[in-house]
Amino acid sequence: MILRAHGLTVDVPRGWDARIFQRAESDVMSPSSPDTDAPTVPRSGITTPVLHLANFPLPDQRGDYGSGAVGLMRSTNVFLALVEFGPESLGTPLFAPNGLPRLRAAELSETIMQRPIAGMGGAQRFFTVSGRPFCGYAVVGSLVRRASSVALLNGALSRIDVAAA
Amino acid sequence: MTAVVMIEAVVIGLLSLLVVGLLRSHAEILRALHDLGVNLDEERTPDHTFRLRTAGGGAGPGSGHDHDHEEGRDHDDVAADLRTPPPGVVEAQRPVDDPASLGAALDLSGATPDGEAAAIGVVDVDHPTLLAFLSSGCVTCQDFWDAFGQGVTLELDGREVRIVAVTKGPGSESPGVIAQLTGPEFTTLMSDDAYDAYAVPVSPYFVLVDAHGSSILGEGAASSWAQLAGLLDRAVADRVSALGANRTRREVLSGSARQRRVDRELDAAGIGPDHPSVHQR
Repeated sequence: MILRAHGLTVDVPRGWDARIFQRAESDVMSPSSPDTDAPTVPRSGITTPVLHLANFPLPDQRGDYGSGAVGLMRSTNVFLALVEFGPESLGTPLFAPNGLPRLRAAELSETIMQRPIAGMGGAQRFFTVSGRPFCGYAVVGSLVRRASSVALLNGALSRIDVAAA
Repeated sequence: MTAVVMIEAVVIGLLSLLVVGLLRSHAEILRALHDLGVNLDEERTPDHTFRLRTAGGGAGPGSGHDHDHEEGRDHDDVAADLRTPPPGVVEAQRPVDDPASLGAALDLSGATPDGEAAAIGVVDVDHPTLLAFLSSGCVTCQDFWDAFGQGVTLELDGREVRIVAVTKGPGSESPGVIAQLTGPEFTTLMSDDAYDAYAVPVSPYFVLVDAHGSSILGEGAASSWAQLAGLLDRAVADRVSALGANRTRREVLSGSARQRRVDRELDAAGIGPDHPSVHQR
């Protein structure tokens, strides 16, 4: 099944949940710096597209990096978030790697998780694809099963296509 | 005196005819109920195949089922026994022995009321899924929106059933209105494609999909919570029935057919009540 929005396309694996969204921006504008001539930006900040993929039911209330969903994971579950960054990140060393990443089982670690949960592991990569900077954040339900879980994650990553900005 | 006796005899005769007529009518009603799968003299057993519970432990709104007050039963979260379906359920027609004839389930795609592009996994997942095709306009749908919003949950074979409310797409339904009806306890998807894929004829309409595959256990329209409970219970009983020979609903629920089958197979193997192996310690 193909899901497409905000220039992101994913061929969702059978039985998986997926969401593509961009949070609403505040209508209230604030200066971006103390200078009086500084451009104004939404008080909420500038929002960018986010893609969530999971082999378990995704709850409606989720943070960009999966808070609210990761806590529901079982040992066989995996979660993947692609969070786009603003154009100011383009060309910076952090986002220098080009193309969607391929994860290794060894890089999954409990300490990389946004909020560590015993037995679970995460991995994070920054990269640029089609001229758009992204952070990829993956979580596995069990580090013991990391080999099979990372295969699921890489399979899901291979089904994502990013259109040029 | 003779005239009085004769009149009395005529009255008694007429009353007898009335009683016979009532008994016949009663028997016909019982037969019709039996054909619908309702067995009024069936003993309730503590085996819960399909259970309904609410987050607060109460029965679902609009439920026609009584609370479970029997002794010796699990009272943790059981609010209603769905074993006895009420009449009036409009079920999809299918032969009991061939549940596959209902077709295979499909994953869903559409949008959430918040405007997210969404895909919902239904096939090959480790939990059963109840697809509730609802609308914001139909009065009978409101009971289901309320029930799901209040945390009514379903269990099948000890596994929690994921509830997915499906409405027509943003072209037919207002996302703002649907956003007010949805809740964190269940998933809501707006999708015209889903209505087409499942050939939904009317709202509210329900489809129960089994875990670990794409089997549709049952589907049909139900206009009240009690009717939905009956529909689901019937679907589960049909699935169990389909797993074996042509067994009646009562046999499925009581296990009497299994006992007869065991006896038959032991007889065929030459093992009777007097066989030495039966008495070995």
